[in-house]
Amino acid sequence: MNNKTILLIDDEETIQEVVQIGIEIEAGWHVAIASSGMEGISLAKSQQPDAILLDVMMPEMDGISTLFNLKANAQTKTIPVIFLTAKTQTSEKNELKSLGVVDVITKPFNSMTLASQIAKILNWEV
Amino acid sequence: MKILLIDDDETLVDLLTRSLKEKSYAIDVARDGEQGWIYGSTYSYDLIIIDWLLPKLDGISLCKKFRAHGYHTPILLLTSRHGSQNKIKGLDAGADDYLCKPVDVEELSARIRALLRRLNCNFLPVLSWGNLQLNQYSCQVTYQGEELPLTAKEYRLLELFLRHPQEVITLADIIESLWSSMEYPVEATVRSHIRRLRDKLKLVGLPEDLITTVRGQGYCLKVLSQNQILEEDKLSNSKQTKHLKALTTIWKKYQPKKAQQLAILQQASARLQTGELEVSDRVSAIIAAHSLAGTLGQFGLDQASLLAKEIEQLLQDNQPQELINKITILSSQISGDRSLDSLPYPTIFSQSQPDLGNNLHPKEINNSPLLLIINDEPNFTAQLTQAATSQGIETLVLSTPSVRNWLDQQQLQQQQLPHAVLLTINFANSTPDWRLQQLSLIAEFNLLQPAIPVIVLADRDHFKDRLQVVRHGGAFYLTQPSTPSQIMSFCHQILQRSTIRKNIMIVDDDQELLQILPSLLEPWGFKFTTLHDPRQFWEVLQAFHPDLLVLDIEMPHLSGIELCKVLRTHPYWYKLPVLFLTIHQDLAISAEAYACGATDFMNKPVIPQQLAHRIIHRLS
Repeated sequence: MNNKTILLIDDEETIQEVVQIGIEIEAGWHVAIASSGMEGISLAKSQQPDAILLDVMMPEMDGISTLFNLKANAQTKTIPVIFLTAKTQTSEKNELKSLGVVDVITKPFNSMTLASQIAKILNWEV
Repeated sequence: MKILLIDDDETLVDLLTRSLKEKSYAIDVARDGEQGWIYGSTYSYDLIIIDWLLPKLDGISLCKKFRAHGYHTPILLLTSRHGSQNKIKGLDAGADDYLCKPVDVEELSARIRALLRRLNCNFLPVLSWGNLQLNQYSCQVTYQGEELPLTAKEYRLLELFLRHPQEVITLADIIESLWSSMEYPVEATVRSHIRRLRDKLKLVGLPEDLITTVRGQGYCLKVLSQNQILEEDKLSNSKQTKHLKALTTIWKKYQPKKAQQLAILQQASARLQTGELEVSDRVSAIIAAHSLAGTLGQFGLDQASLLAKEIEQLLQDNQPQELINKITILSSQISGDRSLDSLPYPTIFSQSQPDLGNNLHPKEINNSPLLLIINDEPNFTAQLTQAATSQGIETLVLSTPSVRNWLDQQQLQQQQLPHAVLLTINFANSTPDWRLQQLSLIAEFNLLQPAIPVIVLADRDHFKDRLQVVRHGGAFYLTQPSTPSQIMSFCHQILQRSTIRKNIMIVDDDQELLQILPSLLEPWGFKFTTLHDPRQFWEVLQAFHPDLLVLDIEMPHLSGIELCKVLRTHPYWYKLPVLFLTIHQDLAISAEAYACGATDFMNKPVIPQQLAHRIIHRLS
């Protein structure tokens, strides 16, 4: 239960820390952090996380390109990806979902319940 | 958990009974108010769902009657009556919650869970006994992370014990809670369910006497030892304290960065006032607003986060005055009386409602598409309006004779016109004059600039009627009988195709054209982003997210062809429609443009109407 690893790919340092403490305190999972799409792809290959939280809007390589790269690589294509986005309209969220992620979590999220939200999406036990 | 449903609508009763049974509730159904009173006052229920309009005794009177006789069972009122006055009336009559029809089953389930949580003061969606957990959302039971395969009855039995951990539960209690009043299980059946549940619990390593027999009385849940309880409380409390402390540290650490981002917005606001806001300033401001929107909400500053999100949108829409106002409000919210330095520590409490905030985002409400319904039958119109509301469509209803006047007024006062029109025409039974009046309305909407699509709802399907409608400019023809929800689903599709507020990005080194085009195309309701330096293309594209791109071919530094090629290498942008504009009449150039991924190609000088029609066509 406590041996999960989540990879967060987000350029925003504040979000990195909020996600990390939220998940580590509430669920005890390990959180690996990447600040860019490129770094995220490399960490996903080396660490083989149980799930990836991926920010949509990032400079240089955005979340969508990162997702396509992850899905194109045999080592990372089966890792479930959840998008993090500030988009709140259902149509925008559906469009993002149709790109091949398991779900979309809207920012701001509740860091107290983020882990249980992820667990629910992925059918994990918390 | 046992629920009494009092409703005479067969379809709804059938739907709710099925879906609530799937969620392991026992349901009794009463078809009128009097029967509801007999059931509710005879048996005991965990929750009563009452329809407002009931035969014999209406829902409000029934609610009052239950409360007057001292029944405290939670009551959820179902009704098709919208509006706060009705809600107040319902709640004052004694209802604990109020849900408008059409009923969304998921929302109803969530409200039921919320009411039951209040009833039991057991606020957790997950009931637990040590490491044994029962999740009411997923209806799953786990022990130390392993799932227990329980039948529906075993699940409900366990739920009953976990909900009433300190009580002795008799066989009669169990029968009353788990079986509907129409079922009469013998006690041996109940005992055998308990035996099977005990076996399954034992199999995963739980104590044999978790469900203890109390001789001559019934059963009860074994009490968790004080040590175990203390351990759990300590763990949960220390978790929350730790979390809060960590959030506070993060907040303090990033305050200076948030202040810098606010300063970028204030600078953009100042430049907007003097008309000196460059594209690069705008992009920086969008990035700052985006970051603020994403992070302020994490620390409980929900209002400020929403404002930042609106500012990000306004920066893309290019609405200077509103933008300046919003930046001023945001500044005063987070740097005025409550300066960034003196802000309270992050509040976990306000973090608990982010979804609610998202649902109420004012921009989304304002952006609802408007459908004009022209119909002369009040009953059918009411049904259409209700179906439209449930699909997020705003409606305005007018009768045929009043449309022309209304349209004149709207145009005169430059008020909002509808995005589509739904017009009912009765071909079989109306007079030729009346029909002509309705057909000429179609023509009138079609002649507006831009034209408003008219969806005709006809009573019959004759080719000559369709031809008449088409000749007057009608865009769609639906025939009766169709249900209101079918009609509205179609209208929803049409409204989705509306070009209003679609973002068009134009890249052209001809600055004069960049100034003129947006104003020439204004009547079609597009939003524009213009860029004269192609070197900033990628940055601006990412920030503004256009729905269509208009590219000049020959530009200094980078050609439109090259930009299009770059675009087509991207997994997301490769499908963005691109329309080329060029002064070259050369066939070879248009061939090159199409080869690099152009969607369309037009020669300069541009005729605005033609360009608008091409854009609309490509967007759809």
